[in-house]
Amino acid sequence: MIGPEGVLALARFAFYAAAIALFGWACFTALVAPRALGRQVAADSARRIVAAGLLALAATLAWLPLEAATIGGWAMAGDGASLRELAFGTVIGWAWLTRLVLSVLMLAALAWRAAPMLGVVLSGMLLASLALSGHANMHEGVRGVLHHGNDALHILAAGFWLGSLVMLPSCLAHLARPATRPEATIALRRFSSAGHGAVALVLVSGIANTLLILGHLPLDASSPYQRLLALKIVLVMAMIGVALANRYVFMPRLGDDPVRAVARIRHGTFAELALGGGVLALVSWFGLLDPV
Amino acid sequence: MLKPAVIVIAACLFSGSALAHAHLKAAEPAEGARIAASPTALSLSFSEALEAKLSGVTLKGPDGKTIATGTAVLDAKDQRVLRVPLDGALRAGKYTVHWRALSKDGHSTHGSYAFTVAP
Ligand code: HEM
Repeated sequence: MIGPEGVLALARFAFYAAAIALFGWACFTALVAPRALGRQVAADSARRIVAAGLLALAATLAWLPLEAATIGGWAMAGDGASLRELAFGTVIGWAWLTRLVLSVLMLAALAWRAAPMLGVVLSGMLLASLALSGHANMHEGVRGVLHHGNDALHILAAGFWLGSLVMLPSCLAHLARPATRPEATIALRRFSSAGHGAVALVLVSGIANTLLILGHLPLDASSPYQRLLALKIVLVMAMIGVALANRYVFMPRLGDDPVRAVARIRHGTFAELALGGGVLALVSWFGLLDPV
Repeated sequence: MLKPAVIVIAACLFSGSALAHAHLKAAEPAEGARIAASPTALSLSFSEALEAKLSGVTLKGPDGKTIATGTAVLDAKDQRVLRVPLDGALRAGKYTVHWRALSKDGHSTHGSYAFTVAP
């Protein structure tokens, strides 16, 4: 039998994946792609992105009762009075209410086809609000503020990187068509230069997060938290390896042999996405463990 | 160039870590203590700041029955300390405190300890 913690980890994973897909979609269509391509990709992916919005909302709705179940057993998950105490009387409850409001607003923005920039702001806030309910709450005062700020930065940078990768296959499809090739080339260039910054930020903020929580590198193999964090870092290193190969080996070949180069970049993108999924699965779980 | 600098700065700022889940550090009356007079309150000190709601104790008497206590409150100056006023005097015997603590990051921990009133 899978316990409340396991189900909560699944809900966290679903939320991370959905919110990152929303943020990547919004950034790509509003900021990375030139206008016409942005519109086209937004239209092509409209249904999938509404599905991501619904998943973010569903995962959020499930989160509070599951959190309750990890505190007081399954009985507490169905107890209205305890859920109200948790939602309105605790720090993580307020963080949860914030996410609930933001995910409803995000869905509304998608339904009414609001300006793409609004999508960037809402999905960015949705991701950043995760910082309010995690291990960043362990510190008070200046250190607490630094920890929350760093955590938000970490999730936003990671969300930009991974979320853009979700959009990359459609961008590559446009790269293969002569009519949309110029705009798709611009989008790919912009993504890879912004990507350098995002990867650097993910690394720096990830290291800072590790030091804030553990105070040292995750080298103690007897601690499950440290083992899983170390595994996460290994997966991220592999992602960086694939990203570097895409950028510095295959992108330069786009001019000479576009068909093969696009196929290679596609494969690399899927490999990075699979590794990124593994990273999210790990954080969903070890973020619940005692960081000793 | 940036990364090593950040690591060094971060290491200086943040050396030493806290535990994110609330562990019981000390209690009054202490675990295993034999006290002559009935305490007027229980006081439990944790490693982390707690949420007042959803943190609390159940006190079991020598006969294993639950003893009514006042509402658990956090110390006004230190949110890591939980205080539970006791309504009446405890008679002689062994008492077990079952505690449950919810830390600010949403993790709950629980445990128990015992003390003896021996006038
Ligand atoms: C593709 C790269 C990465 C992704 C997608 C990613 C994603 C995430 C996410 C979603 C969280 C959870 C935030 C929350 O719920 O509050 C997180 C937390 C964290 N990340 Fe990363 N991360 C990446 C790279 C890294 C790296 C390279 C490191 C370390 C060097 C790192 C260290 C951490 C730590 C220590 C936490 C805190 C976990 C906790 O709350 O206990 N991350 N990351």
